[in-house]
Amino acid sequence: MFARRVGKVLLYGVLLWQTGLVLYPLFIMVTTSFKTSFGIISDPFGWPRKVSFRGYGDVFSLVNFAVYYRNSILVTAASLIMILALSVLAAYGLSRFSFKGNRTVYFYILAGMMIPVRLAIVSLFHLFLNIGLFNNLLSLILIRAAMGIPFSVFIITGFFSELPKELGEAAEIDGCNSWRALLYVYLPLLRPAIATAAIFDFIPIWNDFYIPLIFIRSDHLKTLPLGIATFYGQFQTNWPAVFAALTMAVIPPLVFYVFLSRQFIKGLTSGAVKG
Amino acid sequence: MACVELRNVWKVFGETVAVRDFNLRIDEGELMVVVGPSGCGKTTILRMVAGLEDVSRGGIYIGGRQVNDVLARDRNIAMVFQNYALYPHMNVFDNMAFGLKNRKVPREETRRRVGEAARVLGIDHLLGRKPKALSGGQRQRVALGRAMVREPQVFLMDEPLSNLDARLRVQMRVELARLQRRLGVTTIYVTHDQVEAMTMGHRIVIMNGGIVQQIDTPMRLYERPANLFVAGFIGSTPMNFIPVTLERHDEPALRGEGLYFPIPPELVESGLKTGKERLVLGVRPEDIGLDPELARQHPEWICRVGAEVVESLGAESLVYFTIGRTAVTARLAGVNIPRPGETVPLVFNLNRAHLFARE
Ligand SMILES: Nc1ncnc2c1ncn2[C@@H]1O[C@H](COP(=O)(O)OP(=O)(O)O)[C@@H](O)[C@H]1O
Ligand SMILES: [Mg+2]
Repeated sequence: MFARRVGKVLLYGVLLWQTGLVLYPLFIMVTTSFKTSFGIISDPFGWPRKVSFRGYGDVFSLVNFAVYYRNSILVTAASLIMILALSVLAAYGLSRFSFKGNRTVYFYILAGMMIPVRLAIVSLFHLFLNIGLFNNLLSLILIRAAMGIPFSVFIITGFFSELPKELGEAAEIDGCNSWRALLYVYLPLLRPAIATAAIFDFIPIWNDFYIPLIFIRSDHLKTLPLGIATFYGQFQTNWPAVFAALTMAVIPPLVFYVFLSRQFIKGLTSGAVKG
Repeated sequence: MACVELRNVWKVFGETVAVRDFNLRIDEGELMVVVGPSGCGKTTILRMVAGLEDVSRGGIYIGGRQVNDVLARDRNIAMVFQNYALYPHMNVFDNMAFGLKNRKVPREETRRRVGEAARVLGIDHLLGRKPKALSGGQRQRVALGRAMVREPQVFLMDEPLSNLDARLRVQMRVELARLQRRLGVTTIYVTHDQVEAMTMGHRIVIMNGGIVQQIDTPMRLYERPANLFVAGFIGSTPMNFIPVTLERHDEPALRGEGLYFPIPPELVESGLKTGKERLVLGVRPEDIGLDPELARQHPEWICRVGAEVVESLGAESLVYFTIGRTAVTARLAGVNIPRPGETVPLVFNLNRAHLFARE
């Protein structure tokens, strides 16, 4: 009895410690965004002496922050939709239809997980230059989609294969064609897998600095990470603006996660990623 | 309603022949049971009739029309799966209504049909629940209801009772048979349980290793099993098989280790029909007993045996003994049950016995 209570206290202690570990940097980021430049340098981790909105003002007055924001949302949403739609369709085909070369196609897609994009970046650069998509948001969307698809196919196919195939057969007998069976029977059941894939894909796309850096030239096409980098000067960095921009940039992933977290946990615990 | 016919149907999976030259005609409104040990091809047959599996060779006809190339959704059949395959994200009403919605049945009509089926099955209070919140028996009824509301030409049921506990299985067995009679829908019912087959089927197909062994009414399967397999499969206590040879000197007789039975002409004939000398005598446990009438008429059929184990089932008892080296079971009714170790004269009713070729 006593041992169990001690165990519980210990458990909650560890969990609280972990929570603090995760939340503290966020807390620092938010508080810092309300400090003045002088306040940040004189007392980096303290509570703001004087609340200042200067950082937020700078973010909007000095750069096209709203445009970066919009670009980021556009690129992330479009890539995610593309990844999920194509992955669900691929997983459907791979797990529910037997055809020649089924395994081969599956492993071919999975092989994509093992190739770092950085290796292919030069050819990609030439490719997009040639097809006229250089300095175009579409290039980011296509590349991120291609990068995200292998892992999503892996997750969703694994989950799909565990759904009893009789469900689709029952739907077929109930008068569904393959599309309706996917839409009305399988898709609702795949929600945890889709949420898991979406969360895994969201963060790296949202945070991506490298690919926009190479493929985007114009200021009005920059995404948030690229845009925020403008505040890092060679001689002087506008710290309040950086933290204000970061604080605002964190909001979409947080909202996204809150919306999907229940499904995400279901996906993690119901064998979707057990390989 | 429609008759279903399978003509020279084969199903081959790579190297394995799952179904071999299968022929069957099911009449309108008939309840046909397909029974056999696990892996004998029962499910495969059902899936071919449903259109979920291609036919390797041969033809499937529903209502006289060949349906080999007709999609499952256009065959107007309904299937109850062994694991029910209820849609987990839909409540009971939506599960049952899904097939009607796909076929654009008007909403009022859908509601009426689902309501009626639910009432018949006694699940009308569960319509708002998800399958997860139902017991095994309730899920089974929902699966049935989903098939019923479609008002199909043919019902296909794949071991629908095998996931239920024993008591519920008996109850549902009776209910299902009653329901089928009431709806009068042609039904193919697959099971591996011979009791289910015998109690439910108008006719029964017995299969083994993808090959039909016998197609007949339950009574005829019991009385006239076509071969050793059928004889051994049908009957709640398996038939006794005793190796014998047929002797035809002055009186025809069977000789085996520790037994010598002169036999009636019909049995001689069925023995001769096998064309073999070395035979197997098949006697059901219920045809070995203490019947004084039979013992007086045929004292030559009496065999003195030592009871080894006696199991009392209440109204009757199973007595286990050995003749020669063959273990034999007798099923005795009444009160004069021998005790273990006791030697008793048991009379074998050879009027009801069978002879098969030894394999
Ligand atoms: N999709 C399949 N691929 C390969 N072999 C199969 C397949 N389905 C069934 N079989 C084989 O066909 C035989 C009959 O199977 P099945 O019809 O399921 O038997 P039952 O339902 O009588 O237990 C078995 O030997 C099984 O292994
Ligand atoms: Mg089966």
